[in-house]
Amino acid sequence: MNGRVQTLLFLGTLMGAGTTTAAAAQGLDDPTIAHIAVTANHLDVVGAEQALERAADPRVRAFAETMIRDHNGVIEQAAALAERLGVTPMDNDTSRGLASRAQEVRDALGRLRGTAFDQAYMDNEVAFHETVIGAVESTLVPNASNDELKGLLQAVVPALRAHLEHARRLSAELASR
Amino acid sequence: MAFHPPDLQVSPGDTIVWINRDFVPHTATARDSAWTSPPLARDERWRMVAGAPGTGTYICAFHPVMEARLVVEASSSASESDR
Repeated sequence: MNGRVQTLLFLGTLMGAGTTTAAAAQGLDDPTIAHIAVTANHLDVVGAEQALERAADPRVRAFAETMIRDHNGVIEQAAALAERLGVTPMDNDTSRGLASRAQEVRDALGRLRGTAFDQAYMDNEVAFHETVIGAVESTLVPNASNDELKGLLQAVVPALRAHLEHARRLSAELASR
Repeated sequence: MAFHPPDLQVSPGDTIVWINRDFVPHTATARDSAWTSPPLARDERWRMVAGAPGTGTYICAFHPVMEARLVVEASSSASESDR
């Protein structure tokens, strides 16, 4: 199961709206950005819940618990901000694409057990966080109109980078067993 | 995400206060498990009195990439911060 293939599809979906002009044409407005941000966080929570069911290594389980804790926290912040700004998240093709890719990943991971699951889950988390950081910095932040929404997205990046570093270390440790 | 400062020097009996200024919950937990804070949500704080002299590292239990050093050192004069 190649986690990287899935996340490259995600990248392609978002990178097509890289400029403000293209973004307007593709509908990358604040309600859409808010929806994508929440969806991406939620999908990592769902993946982590599967890991808590299937992971063998306690370090992988601890990582999954952190994903649930942190990404649910970001969802709360994003939802509170959206409500305060009167921005209603708008369902969109990018969010649907993310969700269907994530389901494919979960289906593939669901066929694995023990150390094979652990390695595949962690490898996918590395790829997922790399892609999300790239999308936030190069697409979502530049296209956000509201400064507070922009600020929230930027403020989440350090947490994403810490997740990525944690995932890289754990993936390498698992691979060297 | 990081502890600020990454290196802290205190004297025995000093009170150290950790404050979470981040969005997400963190802990301060000694690597050798000698001490730990509870999970701290945003703006929550936890304090600990420094004990005997020694040097140790501590991490966030949720984000082990976050690591800092705590040096407890008795000073011969009145304790002063050099920051």
